[in-house]
Amino acid sequence: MADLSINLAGIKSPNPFWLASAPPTNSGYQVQRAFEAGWGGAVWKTLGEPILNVSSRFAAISFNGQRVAGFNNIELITDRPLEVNLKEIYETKKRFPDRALVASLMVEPKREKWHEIVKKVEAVGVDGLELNFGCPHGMAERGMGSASGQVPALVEQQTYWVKEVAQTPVIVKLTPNITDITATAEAAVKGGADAISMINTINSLMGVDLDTWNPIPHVAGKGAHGGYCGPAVKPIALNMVAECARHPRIHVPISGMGGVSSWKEAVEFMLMGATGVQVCTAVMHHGFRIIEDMLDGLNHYLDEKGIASVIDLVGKSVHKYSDWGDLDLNYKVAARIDTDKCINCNKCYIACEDASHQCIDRLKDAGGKEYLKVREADCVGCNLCSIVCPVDGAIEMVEVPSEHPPMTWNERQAAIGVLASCNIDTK
Amino acid sequence: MSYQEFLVEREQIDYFIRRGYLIKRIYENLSGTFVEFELKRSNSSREQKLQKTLHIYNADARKYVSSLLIQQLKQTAAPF
Repeated sequence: MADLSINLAGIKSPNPFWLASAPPTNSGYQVQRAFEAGWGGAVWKTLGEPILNVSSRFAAISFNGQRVAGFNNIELITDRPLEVNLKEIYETKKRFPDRALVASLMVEPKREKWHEIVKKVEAVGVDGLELNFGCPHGMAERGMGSASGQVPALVEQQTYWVKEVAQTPVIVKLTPNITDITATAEAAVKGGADAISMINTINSLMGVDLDTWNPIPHVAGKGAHGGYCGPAVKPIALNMVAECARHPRIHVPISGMGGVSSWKEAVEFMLMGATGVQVCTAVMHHGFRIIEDMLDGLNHYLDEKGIASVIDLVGKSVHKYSDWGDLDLNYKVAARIDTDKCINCNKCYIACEDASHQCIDRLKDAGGKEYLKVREADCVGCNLCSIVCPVDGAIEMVEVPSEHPPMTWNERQAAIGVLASCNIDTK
Repeated sequence: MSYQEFLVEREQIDYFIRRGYLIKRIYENLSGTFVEFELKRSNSSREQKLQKTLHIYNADARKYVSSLLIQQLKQTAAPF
């Protein structure tokens, strides 16, 4: 059994799986049940001045039989008074001293407001604070959440105000509703953040009812944009974590979230630089007990890899994530169809013919049996045929040896520039 | 076919390389890549410069000539 414990900027937890600040962490009853199930930590649903919510609040995208491929909510922060939450936080921490208990906070962008809530929350024994600069709906209309989180100067200033009084580590939670998340991540670091977390939810409208023409979800026939999350957002979140992890001026730990549904996504996030992960949608879909499979899966994976501690995964793939201009133009793969496995559905042929480079031939053997064959010399290695193929292993992408050493676009442009700037002696 | 186009253009590039031409300049525009080759000949009386330009259409051929350029710069000790 590997060591699954982590230490994120001084916040220790027995495993890297935390519940994200969201409906599953609304109360002591819920968080304590989650800890009983095995969760390593929880970020309490965002504390602030108690809000009013609407009904309904959630919607989901189901895609080809996959329920909750994407999830959306228009629920706001806690609707319960601060004192009620603090009492339950105190009780929860007392019962589970070994778990990470972090309080998510959101107040108006005023120094005294931040000082007031930080002091009150830290007094009940939280292990850390997470500043919610990410929620895109409702609170943003009041100048909080992502409205603050989209302005680097506001992120830096508010983080600084919190750090003036905070005694525990401060995590800044970032919004993905911005062109370049490293800008706000760097602002958080400048403000003194001990860690950053990402991503909060993405602006979204889930759909329009084809009969009533109401937005989905709707409140008495009207809708407003919500926050999108769940499995569908993982690639967006993973990219943002990786971009921050490889940024030279963002040198604080990262708590990754956005579509983490199993131990596998957790490993991906950690390889791309996250010290731990936070989970919400998967719990909303399947309940707290998914943690059992997550812990088992992670343990088995680490044992199979011979890795003693989960911390040894952190950042191991970051150096492999680069700019397009640094990719090798001379590296080539080509598709190869295993005719023993192929069921001749022609999906690959249609995809290649209609949407790629027309390099799959439909042929007949001596017995008149149809088969598909890739003209490897014409194949550009785009992967499309293997992506659409319904049979695992029927199409393999095979590395084609190059006659030239690696050459990136940046190297090519530099070489052409050398020609332009010097007179080559052609003698 | 793309690969056939590549083979044709690679042969055109190789034709000049085999005869000792060096890549003198590469410039690109909406029509593709233009490669200027140059061969200097000298005898006792004078120096002669032969220049040829190839218009490269094929993407793999553009990669190919770029790889040759990098190889050339390394061999000619150009600052690359």
